[in-house]
Amino acid sequence: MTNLKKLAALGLAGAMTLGMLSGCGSNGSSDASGDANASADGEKFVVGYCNGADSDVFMVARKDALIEKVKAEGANIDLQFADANQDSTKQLGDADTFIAKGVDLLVLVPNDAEAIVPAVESANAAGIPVVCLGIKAASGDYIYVGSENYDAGHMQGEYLAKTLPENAKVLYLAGTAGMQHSTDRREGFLVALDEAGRSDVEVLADLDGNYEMAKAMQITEDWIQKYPQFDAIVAANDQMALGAVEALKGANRLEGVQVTGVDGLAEAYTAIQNGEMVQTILQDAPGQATAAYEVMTKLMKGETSDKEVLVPFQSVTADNVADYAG
Amino acid sequence: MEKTKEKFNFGKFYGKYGTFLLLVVIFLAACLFVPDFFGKDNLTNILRQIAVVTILGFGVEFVIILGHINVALGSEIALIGCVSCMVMVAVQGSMGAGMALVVSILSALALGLLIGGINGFVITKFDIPAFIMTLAVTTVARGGALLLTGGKPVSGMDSIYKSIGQGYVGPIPISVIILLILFVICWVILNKTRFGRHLFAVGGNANAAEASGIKSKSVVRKAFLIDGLMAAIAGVLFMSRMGTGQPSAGVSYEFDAITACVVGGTSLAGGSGTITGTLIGAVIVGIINNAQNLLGINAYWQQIVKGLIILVAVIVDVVTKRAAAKAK
Amino acid sequence: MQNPEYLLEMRNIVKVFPGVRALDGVNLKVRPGKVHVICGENGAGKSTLMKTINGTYVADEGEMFFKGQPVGKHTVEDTIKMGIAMIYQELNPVMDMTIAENVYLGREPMKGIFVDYGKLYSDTQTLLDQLDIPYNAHQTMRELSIAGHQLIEIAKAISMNAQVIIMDEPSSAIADAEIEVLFGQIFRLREQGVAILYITHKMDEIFRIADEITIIRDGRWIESGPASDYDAGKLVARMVGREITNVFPKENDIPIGDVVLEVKNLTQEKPDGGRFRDISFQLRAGEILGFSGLVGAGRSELMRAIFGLDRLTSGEVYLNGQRLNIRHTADAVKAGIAMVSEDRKGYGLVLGRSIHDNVSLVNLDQFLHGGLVNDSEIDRKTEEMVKLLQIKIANQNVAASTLSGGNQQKVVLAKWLIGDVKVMILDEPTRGIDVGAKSEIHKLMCRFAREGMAIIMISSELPEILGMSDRVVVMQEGQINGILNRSEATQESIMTLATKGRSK
Repeated sequence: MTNLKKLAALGLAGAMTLGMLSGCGSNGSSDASGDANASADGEKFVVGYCNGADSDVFMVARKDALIEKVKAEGANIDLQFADANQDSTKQLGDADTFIAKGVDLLVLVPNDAEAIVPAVESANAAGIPVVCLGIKAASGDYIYVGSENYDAGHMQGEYLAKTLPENAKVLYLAGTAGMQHSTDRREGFLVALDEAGRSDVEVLADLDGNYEMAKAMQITEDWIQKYPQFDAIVAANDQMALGAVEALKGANRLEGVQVTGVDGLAEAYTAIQNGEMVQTILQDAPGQATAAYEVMTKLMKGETSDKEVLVPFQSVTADNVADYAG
Repeated sequence: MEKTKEKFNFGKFYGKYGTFLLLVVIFLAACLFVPDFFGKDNLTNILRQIAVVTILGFGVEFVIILGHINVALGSEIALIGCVSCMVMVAVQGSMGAGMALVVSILSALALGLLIGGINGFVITKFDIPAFIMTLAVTTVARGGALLLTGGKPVSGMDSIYKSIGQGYVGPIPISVIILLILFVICWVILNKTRFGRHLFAVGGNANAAEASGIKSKSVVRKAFLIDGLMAAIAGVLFMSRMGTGQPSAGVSYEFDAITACVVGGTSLAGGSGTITGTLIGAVIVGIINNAQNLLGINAYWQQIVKGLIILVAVIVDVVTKRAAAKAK
Repeated sequence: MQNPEYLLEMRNIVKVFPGVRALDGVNLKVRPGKVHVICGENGAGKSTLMKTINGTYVADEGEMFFKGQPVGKHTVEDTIKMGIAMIYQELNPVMDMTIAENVYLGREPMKGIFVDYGKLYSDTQTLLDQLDIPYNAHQTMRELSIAGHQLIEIAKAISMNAQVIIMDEPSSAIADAEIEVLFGQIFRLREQGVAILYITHKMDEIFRIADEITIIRDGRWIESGPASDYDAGKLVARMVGREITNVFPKENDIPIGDVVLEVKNLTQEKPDGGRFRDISFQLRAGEILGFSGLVGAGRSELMRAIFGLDRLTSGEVYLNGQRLNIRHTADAVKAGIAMVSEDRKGYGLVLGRSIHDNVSLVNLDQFLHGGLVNDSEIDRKTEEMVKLLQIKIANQNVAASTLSGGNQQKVVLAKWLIGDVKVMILDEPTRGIDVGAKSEIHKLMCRFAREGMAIIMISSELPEILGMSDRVVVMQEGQINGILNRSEATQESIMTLATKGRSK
């Protein structure tokens, strides 16, 4: 398996750590370096891609899918990457670097809708087209490629509205407080329940799991202590949903509890196949990558693109999981 | 003035038993005001939840007594934990799950010792402040974890791997048993071995320790080795609890561990501190987190409360030490 | 009602700390233009009284008058404004700032919003020159010895136009020759009408400079009177409440054995100039070898290097005829060399730890069983040492920081004595220690010598050197100027050697 190859990389890690003996700790986060096939070839269409966090599973999957797509199509596109490592300020610097380089297109995966605005405006001023991928900027002129986070929450609500028993009790594991997509997903969920006329459903508690598995696990363990019975745990992403599942399994409380998440991770599909989760909302990484690629080719040819290219979320449940898994 | 009669002195009394008093007060308050708090299951739950941070706290305690610090623990457990998962996945097919688990744990311990060894070596060899060195390790270890895993969680370990973090012996979680065993081991090392005595001497006055024939640099290196070993155990426990290797997890766990030490009465200036205090400090923080979750207090307030606890603990520590110093 | 002939008067001062009445009805009357020496053992309350005067502590009872006017509750800032300056026993200069910056710290001459550095340095240099202090105002404090810091502190007090200057053991860190400079200052100030409050343990100093004496014991005022009413015996008797017949009781029937330690051509060179050169001497069992010289002669540096605290550049060390390769103090300790540093708090003790922990620090291996420390064995051994050395402590679990200087020094001795010591190096073993404890330590030294230990003693007090040493090594500027036998050694012969001037 590929894991053997990764194991070989262990040696590399050792060497890397040893490299610090020279006294200079390398700063692993600043790598506005070009991709392997990057060249200063003036013919190529240069894209500066500011990722939000290379430690985020979904963001990496989408980025990898885009690289694959460009490679597979043999397109004359030079993708260059920067990683903001969850830091909105660093992201502005990354964008400025690309703008100064004079890239042909700036792709932003904003950490924060408001904080990214200066980058969008600088690019606008420099005449460089901007694509916001996955998360919108609060203002400025850009093309949005991605999905509506509100829809993800709404799909969770729609599904549970159908499956929950009467007077069901629900727990909500929220994403990082203060982030727009966290708010959108929660709102979509609550509105969907409301629209379906399920005012009998009670949300027992709503706590911030910070999109982290370990944190979600801990919160769920505490809920298990507090609530002798509940029917569903709704998580704002799959990592948290999987954390909830682990906690429930550990306490033998998984039975009768429907767990739903967002992202469509492979682990979530497995959990659905095993009956541990009921649903995940696929935020379609390859789909978004493909859509972004299509916008790029249009711009490269000098054509115009729609201001909003929506890639719908897809609800994955036991019924259709076979189509997605594997 | 050395024949001072031992009169009651609050500063001294608090210095000795204050952490424990604080625990009792917080525990009673939680029992009274937090429904569903008191109960065997929830108390076990708290111990299980604090296991990872407490073990990190035990390790960093040795370092803090020396007046050093390690701010890389969160990244270290991510790297070590992910490596242990990858080793497990790689070898479980060929040598069977049980043997693979042993190899996985051994490789984690080896990596922990390597990281601890490098920390101690660089800090003593080049006289670099531990804060700076471990700050560098923070990003290197995190980068290493992401690089090795490609940024994706490692899964596919045999279920035996999960048993460390999730299993039980009778009614007691295995993680709690590991925690208690490490507590005893660390307590003995700190209080009953030559190294422990040397640790306090070097932390209290490195010059006097050197002038007593103690090789202070070697003491520092050993402390970082223990710190690395604890990070390794915590890393395996952390991933096995979640059942996957999470390269981006563990962020800010070092501060939770340091908080446990400080709340437990350890001075960041070095020279003092107890393992019992660290355990109690971790339990206090664990109870407060648990109580806040049970009460459904929102994330903003939880952060504020956590910060205030550290601040109050440090102020109390400083004030009582000053009172004790004045009293002499 | 107040008597204006006194510049400063304290009446019935009481200061209570938790668990102890540090001052219990102390009186003090200080006349202008007089040197008033406060006598008493360590722990008698001398320093507490001084700190009560200058506002560091607030008295619980009693009255203070300055120039006949009552002074209520006051702070250190208040007393400085009034004209009372205090020179502390332990100085904390800002090491990396210059002499001038330290002298005028917090009250720099200003030009608008900027510090007037020209005036700062010229004023300071004038001051130093007036006082015959041989430094340049631009030197940093780090370049100066402790004695140097002391002199700068005096300069600072004088620059503040102080009318009362409190000196808490200013001479304890200064070699005899430099004390002359200090005394010169004191006499000059006295003529100008400044009152000096002076704390010291050194008898010869008291009778050289004191005009008036106040004796306190255990926080209580015993008596005050003109210095001419006292002699050394009477004074010591009033201080300790008992007669001390011989302050330095070297017993002369101790057998001298074979050579234990021999060093040949020891040299230490550092980038900023050598510390010592070409040092050779022998030390025999049962012998006390005194090391005399001015502060800065390189005595402590030499001993630190022999003990492994610093590196030697070249030279050889032999113990019982065997060459030692000392790369670290651990090697010296293993060979049986012990060192009691002049800096008790810096290098002797871990102040925050207990007596128990400090005593067992060096020879912990003795108490290891299967890798674990046997604390009850340490308890027993510590108890033994406490009895042997007559260490006064409530119990052995109290922190070392709570002990007086004499008892701290005994704890340092104890930590070595539980092991097998062949050579004991004592650097200023009785500095800052009260008279009673001092003679106890001297008795202990004789006892160790009688048991066959070879002892090196660095001391800046000539009476101590003369009283205790079998032979005296006199150093100057990093070299040995001569080694005197007991019969040849006199104050004059030592001072002559110590100051003879070297041809480079």
